[in-house]
Amino acid sequence: MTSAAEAGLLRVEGLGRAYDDHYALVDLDAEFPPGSVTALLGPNGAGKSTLIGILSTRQSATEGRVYFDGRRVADSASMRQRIGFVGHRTMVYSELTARENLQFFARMFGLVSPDDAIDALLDRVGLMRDKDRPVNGFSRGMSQRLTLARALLPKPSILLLDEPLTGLDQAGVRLALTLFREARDAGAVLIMASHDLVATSKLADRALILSSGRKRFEGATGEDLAAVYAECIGEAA
Amino acid sequence: MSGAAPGYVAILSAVLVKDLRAELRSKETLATMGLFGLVMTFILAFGFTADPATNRRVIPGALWIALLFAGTLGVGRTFAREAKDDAFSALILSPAPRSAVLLAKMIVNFCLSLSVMVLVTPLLAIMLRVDLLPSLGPIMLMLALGAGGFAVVGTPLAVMAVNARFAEVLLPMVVFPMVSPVLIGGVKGTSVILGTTFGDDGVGGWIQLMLAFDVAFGVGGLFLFERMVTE
Repeated sequence: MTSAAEAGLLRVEGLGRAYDDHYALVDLDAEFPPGSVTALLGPNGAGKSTLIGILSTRQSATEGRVYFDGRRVADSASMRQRIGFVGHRTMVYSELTARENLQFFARMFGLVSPDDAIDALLDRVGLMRDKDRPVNGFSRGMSQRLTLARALLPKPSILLLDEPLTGLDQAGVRLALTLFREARDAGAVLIMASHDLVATSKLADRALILSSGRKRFEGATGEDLAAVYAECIGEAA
Repeated sequence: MSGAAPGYVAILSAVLVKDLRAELRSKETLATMGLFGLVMTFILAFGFTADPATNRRVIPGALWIALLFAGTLGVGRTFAREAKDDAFSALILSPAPRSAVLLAKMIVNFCLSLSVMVLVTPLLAIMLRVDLLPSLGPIMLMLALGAGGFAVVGTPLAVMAVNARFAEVLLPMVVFPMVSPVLIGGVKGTSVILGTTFGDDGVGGWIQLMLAFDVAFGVGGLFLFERMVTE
């Protein structure tokens, strides 16, 4: 049975990922509480994408374990049911319309009667007027807005964000941050890898800073994200 | 709205409908394969113009060359769409059974290859002045087994090559040797059907070989796909 302290908590223990000639992650212990946004920071090659890849189940760990809700994650399909993913690529089908894309991904997640939720999300991301247009006529920012809707549609318990603000204009960035805050307030675990410390500091309340696959910092940050980063990594962001 | 583990058949049909809808809108893959098949038919027809008896001996090779190139082209194209905006990552990061996704892709590739052969086969017969009508059923069966062979081998390999550099070059280099049993069986079997090979027991052995190949690689691919997409 899940204890109250572990409910909704995402935790990694001794996580490692080895490649032929190097380690991308080394013995990582970290916690990602529900209702929090963790900024995943570090220079290129720090292991951020590897950690996101393992948590998303796209990559496998060579060492260590992942726990969610107090249980060890062993079945990747049931884990994927609870994960939303936004990357820097749009991850939608350009020949399909915005609505068809969301209907397709709703079926992939086994959502029952998703039409009202799809319309509500399309309205929320400002694509209602364009919902029946093929995505190949969309701007980069519109496609990224659709990606936000795709990731949020199944109401994920874990939202993995890998440079999620790519291609968005200022209004789009504000919208994305608002949607992420709403997901956080609904109790989701958010992990956001980004090099944009200004935007990240507006959202994140915690940080996990990696360098060469090793943890350099984990904890609450408040507004001082850039200062914490500079102190850990020894360079300005 | 609620989320439950999506069913196998529901995923299979959703991916099929999505791929066919995308293909019907863009006509990218079918047009490329069809045009390629047509050009090849004309080249073969002009290059092999001889008396109908000689053409009858040549047509099995011509048919299977057309399937070889059109099939490889099709397999690569269908995954280029998935790779374009990394939609494939969103697909396999969903809780959908991954083998259902692969099976749907195999069926799409099978349908595309076979539809090209439905176009190319009568054209080749007309241009090479070979009467295929009496043997059309068995020949189409052989071509269907061949298209199946391409789909079950080429589809998982296309997934693996989708993010590789030089994927367009890499894919044929890997697929061609692997489908050689199907090609050999297809050419020999078609020759037996057309009566241009002597000293052979019949077409049954070749059909069994191709069927066994399709089933073995199809089942193997479905079992291994989970590992293939996990880095």
